[in-house]
Amino acid sequence: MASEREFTNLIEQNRGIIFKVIRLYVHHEEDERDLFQEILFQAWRSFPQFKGDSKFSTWLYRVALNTVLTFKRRPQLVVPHEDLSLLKTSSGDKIQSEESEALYIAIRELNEIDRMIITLHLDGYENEEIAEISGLTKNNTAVKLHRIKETITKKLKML
Amino acid sequence: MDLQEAWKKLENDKLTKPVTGAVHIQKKSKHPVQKLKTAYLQTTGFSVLFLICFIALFFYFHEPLVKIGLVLVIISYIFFFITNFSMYRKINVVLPVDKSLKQALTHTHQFITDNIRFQKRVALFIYPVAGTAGFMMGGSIGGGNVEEMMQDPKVLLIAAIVMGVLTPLCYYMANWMYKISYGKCLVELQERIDQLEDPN
Repeated sequence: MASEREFTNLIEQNRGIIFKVIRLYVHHEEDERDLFQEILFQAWRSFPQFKGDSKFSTWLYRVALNTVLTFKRRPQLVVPHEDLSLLKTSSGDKIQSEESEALYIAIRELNEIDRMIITLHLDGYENEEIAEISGLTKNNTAVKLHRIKETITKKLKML
Repeated sequence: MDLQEAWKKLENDKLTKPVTGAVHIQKKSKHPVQKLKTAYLQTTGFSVLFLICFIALFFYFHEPLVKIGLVLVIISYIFFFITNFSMYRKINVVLPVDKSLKQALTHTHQFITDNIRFQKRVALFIYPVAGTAGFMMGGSIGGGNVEEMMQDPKVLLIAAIVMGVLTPLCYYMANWMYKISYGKCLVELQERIDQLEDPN
């Protein structure tokens, strides 16, 4: 039987994963708080099923993504294209940390499933693992990943 | 641009920043499935309240026909109470979140759709029975003899028209309310399932 202390310790070590998923999918502070609690709730209640076949971080990533994507969230109010223009100053120079900021905006412009696929890929997950987490086939994952990378590269070149 | 490098920087600078108020494990879910569970509990409470009222009305009215109508309503509400309470107890707010995303999405969508369909079907059975009893009670309060009243073809025709209008009206009202509560959530879930099923 899993203990609350063991669970809390594991969450403490991996809470960056939850924050990351929330930052990628949520647009309102209230939603952020609700979703953080909801992910912890779902993870805690599902924790007895965690057999340690995969790393805890992978398991938590999956729980966080599945919770966020089945949760009712407030709509996004910011138009992403307006965000892209904010990266340039009037003289055309780009603001500090522009590359990572541009990547963030490009990722947020993707649909939610594509966003999940690319973030898992950038986090170092293999296509097979992404397929298992998403429920896609391995081939389909590869096809989608190729298309998403092309889209992102195109968007980043526009800056 | 090196995507991996930009991603690492993004992670450190922005993505892993703590969420405000993220401190403890809460004991209650705010998931749409939990909302359904709460709705079942509320409906169960209302059905008990209505049952008490209908039982009181059963003793208030003396016309046998009204009493028969009320017995039917009481039986319907007992059935309504049992089905709602058993659904409330059956709902598990712990989702298959440790399965694949496709499984979690499909499960949640199916679960919400099935429960709404179930609630609407049960309500469709309740509306005409409750409506007929209400019609007869109205006749009784109006001072008329309900048995004589119900033998009048004109009254029967009016009753049939009223039921014919009220039942679908209540059904569509309920449908509209479900659409407001869960419609957007279901559309979004379906969109994500479609995105997963899209081969490109």
